[in-house]
Amino acid sequence: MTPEQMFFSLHGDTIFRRNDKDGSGALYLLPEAKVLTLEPSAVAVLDALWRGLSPDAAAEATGRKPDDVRSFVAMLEISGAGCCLSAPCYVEPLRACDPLASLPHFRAGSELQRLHVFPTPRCTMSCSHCTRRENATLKPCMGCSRPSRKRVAEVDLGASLLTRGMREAAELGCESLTFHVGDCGPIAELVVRSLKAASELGFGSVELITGTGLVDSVLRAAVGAHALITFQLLGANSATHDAACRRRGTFDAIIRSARLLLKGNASIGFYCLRSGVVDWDKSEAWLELVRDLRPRRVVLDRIVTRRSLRNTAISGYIAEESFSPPDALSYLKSLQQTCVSGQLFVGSDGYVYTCPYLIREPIGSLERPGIYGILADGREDPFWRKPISHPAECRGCRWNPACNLCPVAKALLSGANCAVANQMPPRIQERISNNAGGV
Amino acid sequence: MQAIRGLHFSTRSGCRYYYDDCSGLCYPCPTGLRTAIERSCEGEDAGAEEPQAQWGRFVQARRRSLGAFSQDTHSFLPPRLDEKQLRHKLLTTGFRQLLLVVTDACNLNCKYCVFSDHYPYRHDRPKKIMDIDLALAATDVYLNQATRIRRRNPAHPIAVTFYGGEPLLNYPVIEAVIKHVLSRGITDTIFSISTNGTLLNENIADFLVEHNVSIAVSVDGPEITHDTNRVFKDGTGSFELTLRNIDKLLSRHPDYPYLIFLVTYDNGTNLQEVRDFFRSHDRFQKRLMVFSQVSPHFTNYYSRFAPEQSLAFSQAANAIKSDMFREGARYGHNDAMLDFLFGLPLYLCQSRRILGNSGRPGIPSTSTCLPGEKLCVVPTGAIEVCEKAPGLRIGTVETGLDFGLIKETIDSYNHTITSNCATCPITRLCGTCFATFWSGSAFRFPSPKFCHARTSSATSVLEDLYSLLEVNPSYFSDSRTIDERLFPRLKALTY
Repeated sequence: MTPEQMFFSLHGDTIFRRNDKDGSGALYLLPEAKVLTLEPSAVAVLDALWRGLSPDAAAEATGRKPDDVRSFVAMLEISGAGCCLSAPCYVEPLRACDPLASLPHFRAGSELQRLHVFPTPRCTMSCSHCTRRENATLKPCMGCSRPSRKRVAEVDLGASLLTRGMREAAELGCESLTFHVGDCGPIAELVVRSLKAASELGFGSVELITGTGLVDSVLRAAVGAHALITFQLLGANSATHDAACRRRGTFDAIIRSARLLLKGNASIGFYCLRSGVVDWDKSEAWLELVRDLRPRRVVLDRIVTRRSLRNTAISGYIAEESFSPPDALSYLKSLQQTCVSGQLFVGSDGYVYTCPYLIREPIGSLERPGIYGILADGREDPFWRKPISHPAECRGCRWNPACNLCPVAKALLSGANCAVANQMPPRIQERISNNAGGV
Repeated sequence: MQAIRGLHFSTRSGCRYYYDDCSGLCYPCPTGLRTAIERSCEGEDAGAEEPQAQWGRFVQARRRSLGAFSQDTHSFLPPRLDEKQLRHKLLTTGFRQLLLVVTDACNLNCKYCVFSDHYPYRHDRPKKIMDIDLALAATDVYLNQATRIRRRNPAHPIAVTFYGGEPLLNYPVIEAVIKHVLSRGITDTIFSISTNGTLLNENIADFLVEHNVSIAVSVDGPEITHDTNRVFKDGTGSFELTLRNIDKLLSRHPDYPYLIFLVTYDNGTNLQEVRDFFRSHDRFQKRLMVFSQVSPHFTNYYSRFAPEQSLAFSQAANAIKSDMFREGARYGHNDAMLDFLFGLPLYLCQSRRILGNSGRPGIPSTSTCLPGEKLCVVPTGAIEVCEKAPGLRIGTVETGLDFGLIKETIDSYNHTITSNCATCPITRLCGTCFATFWSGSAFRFPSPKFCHARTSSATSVLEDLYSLLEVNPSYFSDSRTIDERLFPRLKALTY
């Protein structure tokens, strides 16, 4: 074919992302597991080719040399990103596996994989970052507005109600349970009872996330239930951590509890949050702590996680990282599911949510209709399953690579303006822009 | 030479594509890719220096990461399910629909009925009418299992369908079953009924509407078309009575959403007249229409049509179909024939499963359901696979499902039918099932060239689909939203 007859097209399994900030872009070649980063001038050439221009015409339109453009097109073909055709074709984008499965009659049933429980609103600490505070410094993952917690009653979750919810979840095949407790001390009895119940109900994975050291009874129960205890760290030593959580001795208590748990052959983990006083990537004290305690897992808050962490000594512990390199199957999965798919969150008021940041939108309570009733009604479905097509308001949004149709974002949509985008802090905007190619 | 499962096709614009059945993906197919596929079939890899090397790598990368362009026909064959596995599978995901054939009797004498002399199927059962005790017992057998499955999967559907003959001839059983299901506290059951509409009086209609029963009424088109085939025993047409009853229902319940129309056509149907009829009457607006061809399998029915008649039918069909390609054409725009007769095959093709296995566990190909997902109970108390495969028994109401018999049925089906699919290029598009191959006494291919014709048909659908999408990429994009708004829960039962 002559260049004049040529139409260039990306393959359906190549994903293009544009960086609006500087005009650059990235091509994700999913089957080849490769990323091609594109200079702004290359993106301009691609735009011209997509308008149906021949390489020579595209060169003229973008001010590039014709030979350069031909070489660029040849490079894209050779790398498996796209191909030249004699006529404009339709390229079917790689999509979710089975659209018919979303029809009610064929619905396979939502699979509850993890139940999160926030058994108490009480805490003895006053961490500046705490997501339960309205003026917290740590932003939710999307940078969206923090929901008011005024409607949340200041009472603990009833033990019998919690056990009922756990039993229903277990009957539905849920195998993972996570308790989020700032300080276990005030509700030690409830935590002990719940850990014991979790063990009896056969949960395969039980985790307790806490910000303080554990009292003896909880330590014993955790060991007995084979629970993973994950401690939140705001700093890599007592000076930085205690300053961030505004209570002396917390760091030492955590490390003491961690060592006791390790003695009992229990598993420990660390959930490291950005407090502004430690750079996890460079902290020698932190690396020393990891080498010493060998935690089963380390989770870094996804907004602050950086690619450079991959090359550090702790990279093997990173369980979760945004903007992962492309993989065809995980990409397909991400097309179908939201980040909260398979998870329900129970607040201390007994209400059930699909995300901790959606406390204005409970989808039921443990009492009524219960976990079972919630799934029977399909109330979780709009939050767990991405819509087949993007809402009109979201089409072409520059924040899509980050938002990924987050249910929080959907909940905050206001007319044509997405509250998420408007309230995105500059720091996060910059980070997302820098990762515009993220899939 | 080892074939790769897939096929080449071209669109009206001349663009060439390759449909890869191993993955379900479609690729634009320039010469280089075509050559690489041919070489791959011959077991050759392109040399590193050759111009086609990039396409060789392209094929290999997709074979490695997506399972595309695969030659391994052995892995295509599923592990054989033993009876224990089958029992477990059905007791965890089966029992999706109970279909009660409440009577074999009918007050009409439709010329294309599958129980007419044109077909090998017979209603020669010793008992024609289902009695209430049997209906309630069958309902309990189904509900006991379905509600048990629901404890593990709350989304598991519970659906009860009334079928015939003409089911309204045994209306007391229908009323009793619905009340019985509700008395067990199951409030979200999908009830549905297929009827010719002639007995749909006000009392019956009110009861069905009150209980949100999906009412599927057969209307073949305008009076002359409808009455050509749908006649009473004395030969008089049923159009007037059917339409009168529909109008009465709609006058009392104008917004009732669960009213469906079943349209049957053959080579003698004037499609344009039928299209105009459904477009011009308010009663059909925004209603789900299900178009079905008079079954062409195991029958001499079509011998009545002269070749010229069949040709004229095809030409008329093509003329209507071409409207899909006109500028601005879109789905859900008050043209049921375009949407459902011509659009639905394309839409289903576009909605094909991508990646993963096609078929059901133990059944590698075709689109059949697993026997036991649907329970079709006939008046004698036998449980059959489906209303469209009369006589294919898989148990009884008294003893429940016979898993040994189901296994034998699957083995027979695999041995006779799916053992021929290992090199089939369209397993994800085939759309056939037990009913397609059930001859009344055994599974067999309806004709020697059946699969060839099926592949040609699928190729044609791909050509139409991609021709349409090249012109109008968003033709189907909003169809799901439209369907779910217009036909909540109904469409699921029609697939």
